[in-house]
Amino acid sequence: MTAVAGPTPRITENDPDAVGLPVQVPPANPRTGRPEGWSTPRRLRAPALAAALLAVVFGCTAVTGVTGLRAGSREIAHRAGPRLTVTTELRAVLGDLDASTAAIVRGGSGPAWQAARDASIESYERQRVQAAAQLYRLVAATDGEPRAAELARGLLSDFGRYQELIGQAMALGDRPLGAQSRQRDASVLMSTSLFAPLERLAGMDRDRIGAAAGNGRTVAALTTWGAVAAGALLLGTLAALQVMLSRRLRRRVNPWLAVATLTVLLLVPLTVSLLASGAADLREAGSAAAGPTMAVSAEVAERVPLVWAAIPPAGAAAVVLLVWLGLRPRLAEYR
Amino acid sequence: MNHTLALCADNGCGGAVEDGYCNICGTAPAPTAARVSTPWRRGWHGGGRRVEIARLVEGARRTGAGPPGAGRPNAASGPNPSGAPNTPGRTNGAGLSNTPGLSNTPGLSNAAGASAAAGTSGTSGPGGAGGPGERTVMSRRGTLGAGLVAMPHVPRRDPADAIMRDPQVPEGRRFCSRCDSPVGRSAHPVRRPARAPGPRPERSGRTEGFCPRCGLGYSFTPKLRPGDIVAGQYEVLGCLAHGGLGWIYLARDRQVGDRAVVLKGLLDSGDTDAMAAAVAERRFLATVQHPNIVEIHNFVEHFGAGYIVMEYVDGRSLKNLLLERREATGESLPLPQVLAYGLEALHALGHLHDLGLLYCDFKPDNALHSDGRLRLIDLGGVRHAGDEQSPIYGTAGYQAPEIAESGPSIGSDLYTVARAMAVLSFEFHGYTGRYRYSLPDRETVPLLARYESYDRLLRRATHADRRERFGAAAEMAEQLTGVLREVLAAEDGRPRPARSALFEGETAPAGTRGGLRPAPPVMAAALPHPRTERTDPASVHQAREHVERGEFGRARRALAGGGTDWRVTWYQGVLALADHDPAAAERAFDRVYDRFPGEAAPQLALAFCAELKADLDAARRYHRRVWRTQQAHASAVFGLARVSVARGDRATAVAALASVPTASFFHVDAQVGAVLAELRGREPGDLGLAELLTAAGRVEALDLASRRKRRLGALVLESALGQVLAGRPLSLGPGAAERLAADEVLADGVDALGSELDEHDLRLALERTYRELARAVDDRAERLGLIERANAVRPRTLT
Repeated sequence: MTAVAGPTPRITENDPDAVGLPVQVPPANPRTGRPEGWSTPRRLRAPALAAALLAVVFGCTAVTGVTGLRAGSREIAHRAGPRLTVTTELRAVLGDLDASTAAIVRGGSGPAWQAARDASIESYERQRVQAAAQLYRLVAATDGEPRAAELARGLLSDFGRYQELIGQAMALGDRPLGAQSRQRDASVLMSTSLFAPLERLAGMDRDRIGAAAGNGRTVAALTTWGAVAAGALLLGTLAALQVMLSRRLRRRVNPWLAVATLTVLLLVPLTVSLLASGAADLREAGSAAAGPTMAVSAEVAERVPLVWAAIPPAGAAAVVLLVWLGLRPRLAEYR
Repeated sequence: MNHTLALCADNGCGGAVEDGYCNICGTAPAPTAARVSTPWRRGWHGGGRRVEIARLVEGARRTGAGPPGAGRPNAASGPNPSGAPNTPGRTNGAGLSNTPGLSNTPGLSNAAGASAAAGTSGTSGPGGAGGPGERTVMSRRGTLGAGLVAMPHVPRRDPADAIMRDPQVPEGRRFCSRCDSPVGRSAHPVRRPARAPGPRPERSGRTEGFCPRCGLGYSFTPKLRPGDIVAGQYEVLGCLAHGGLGWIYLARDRQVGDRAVVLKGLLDSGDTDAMAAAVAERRFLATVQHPNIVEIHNFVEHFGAGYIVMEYVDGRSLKNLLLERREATGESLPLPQVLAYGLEALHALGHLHDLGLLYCDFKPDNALHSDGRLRLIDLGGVRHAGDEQSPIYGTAGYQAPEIAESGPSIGSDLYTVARAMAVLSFEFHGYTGRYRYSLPDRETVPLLARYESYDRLLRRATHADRRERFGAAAEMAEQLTGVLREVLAAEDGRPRPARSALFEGETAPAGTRGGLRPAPPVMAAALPHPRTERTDPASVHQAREHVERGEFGRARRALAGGGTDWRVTWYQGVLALADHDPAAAERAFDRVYDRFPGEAAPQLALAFCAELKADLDAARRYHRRVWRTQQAHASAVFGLARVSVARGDRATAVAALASVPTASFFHVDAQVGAVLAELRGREPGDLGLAELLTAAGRVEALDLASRRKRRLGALVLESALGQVLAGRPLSLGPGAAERLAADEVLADGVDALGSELDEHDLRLALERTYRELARAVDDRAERLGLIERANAVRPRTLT
């Protein structure tokens, strides 16, 4: 070590004896008097800002991932999933309804026939109300979706015509041929005008569920990688900052930065795990397409991010705070 | 005087003995015991004045006189330094102290006017005579060396020992005073029969006779004998020496307290030149009253012969001193001693010049070191400055080259002084031959190489062009004094400050801060201004005003007209220096230095020029010389330190700066500079512990503003840290690091007395110091740098 090897000594106002201490004075802007170049404060501020930025990015990424998962889950659990269920149930009700109309128009007489016919009518009526209710639910579920709503309204109209034909058939009960003709027309209408649109509506919902699940998984995957990358960069930045402090300020460890580093180390796998779990639930819900499994998975996928979604951004904010706490006294030395 | 005419005792010689010597063959009579037993001796052993004489002699012995009979004072003997023939008996004398009852000013004996000795040429005898004037007792005893030089003690001698037992002039030195032909020689051996046994005898040369060439009569026989009373007043005691114009006698003035006097007789009374010389002495010398010039008491006649009565000077001629030293040590006289002699000689010559007289024949033979002062004797060559008729006396090797054409002048007198100093100060081989009118190259003479100012002084004083020499003895003495101060300072390292008559003091020394070479304009502004008067050229005044204001351009225009005044040259150099043209500046300053070799200012200016030319050796030489002599020039010590550091000689730099006296305005800056010179930019392996401790102590002792002190403290701590990191144990003494850090921040380990400082303590102290410095500065960039350094050197910690 050259103990006193400094810059070329020169007489200045502050150094009237030109002692020439080994102090490297950075060039200053002649206009502002501020030091130029990469001084230590700047070398500290830059990675600190980078760390804060990366922490924010990390948090945002995690939030984005969770939000995506929640959006998919919400789509499945609250929109496409329930409608698909209604459609499926409506299809079943309508099938039972149509089957029950055959007994109504069956020819015969006698009390037994009459009793059977009354029972059939009563069953029809009950199923009709049930179908109508389901149909109204379907119409309500399609609110906001013009195409589905149009189909639902068509279903409602065709269901009315169906009931009209069935009513005519019931009115022609003493004329079995006429009634049966009307019942056949109604069955044809059922199969052509009700079952087909219902199938289309079910197909649309299945597509939406698949899309929601797929999108959610994609977002989860992307944000997972993003979080991992941001977390890794953040860790690297914090480590570099720590090394810089150690080298430039001869301080081996900055405790605040160490805590921040530890936080990031915990936060990254937690976030990854969170996103991966949400993505798995969503995938399961998507694969079930309909039914209770789908609904439960969807609800889980929606509920879990709600609990944990706050952790990554909160952790990122904590990291920013820790970096600031760690560097504030060091930077204050240079003021 | 009774003249006993008798036949010559020499067989075969028909001459008659006249005044004791054959007037044909010059055979001297055998000395008799009665003659050796001089009246002085008689007075010593008995007689009416025995007590007084005994007291005188005893007094002389007490003052350090050598044993009686130690030798005849002033008798030049031994080899001449130049190889030229010696001049025994020329202008020498021995003396005794003054008469009792008077002051203890020694009675002085002298032989004046003996200018026709060998080596001295004269075309005719000096004319004029003058009676002795009123004697003024001037006490300048011990002033030799101007109070600067401790001169060797020249012991007094018993005047009786100065008397020649057998007063004879060796044949080899017998010359005709008119044509310089050899006379009185044993050139005609006695013819004897071939069968006669034994070596063929030779006949002694005649002491009296006639020159075979020009027919002028000569006599080398003393005309006075011991016991003779001259002019009823002066009792002859014996012969002291034989000079070119006759025998020189020691006598006792019976009317003035038996004081010792010297009678200088005229040997060749028939010689008009000799007579004229004697008359000239009488005329001029009666008006000369100077402590450095022998005093003429009287002029008397005795049996038709004239005698000058002079004071007796007890001393040794410079030539004798030189020869004795050469014989004892093989060396010439010490330069300070020579310069002191030169100063005294210049004082004497200056007095003569003020009287309108010229000495003409100064040389080591004609100056006696006597009783703490130099005395000029032999005034036979003295003449009026405007005198174009009188003969010119001079000595080869000393005389200026233009004498034959334009005659003597003040410049030629000063020339002789410089030549004499050269002969006395170094082995001046060939000064009467090859270097008769020149000096050897400086490089060939170690003394001249060592003392450049002395060399320049000699060269100016002996310049071939009389107009280039010193204009007056006072001017030369002024410069000689400066050179003497310089030489003395070089000898013992003690400064010899003196106010310059030509330059003002330094007003704004350059380079006092930071050990950095100042910019040329700063150097130029730091140079002393020549003293000016109203009568000086206007260009000089204008140039000075502009230079003082830093208006170099205007100063340049003011000097555009040029001029011969040396101050114009000086300011031309100053402007060239300010214009970053050190070569031109050096030429100008060199001319000024040539002109004033005893001045420090031109040397300081040359030091600056050499610095700018990166001639570090020359810069160091000039700076050191100036500072060593004149500590008033602070620029020089800082320059010396600066250049020494640049040459890697930190020890010299530190020593120079440490020599700045406490009372100096720049003491603190010098102390700071010493710390910087010691530590700044120094590798740990190159720094000794003692140096570091010295620097640390210096910083501790400094009464500085906290900001300056903290920076120096940081420098010391950085150096200490470097030492520790280099694996060298270090101890800064009790609490030193704490004080250097100006805080109590250091760890406990430092508190122990003399404990070793560890790296942690030093780093901690340094960190604290840098942070305090950072808090004190306004400049953000510098503050940033200081904090960076604080963080860089702080001890490594966990958090």
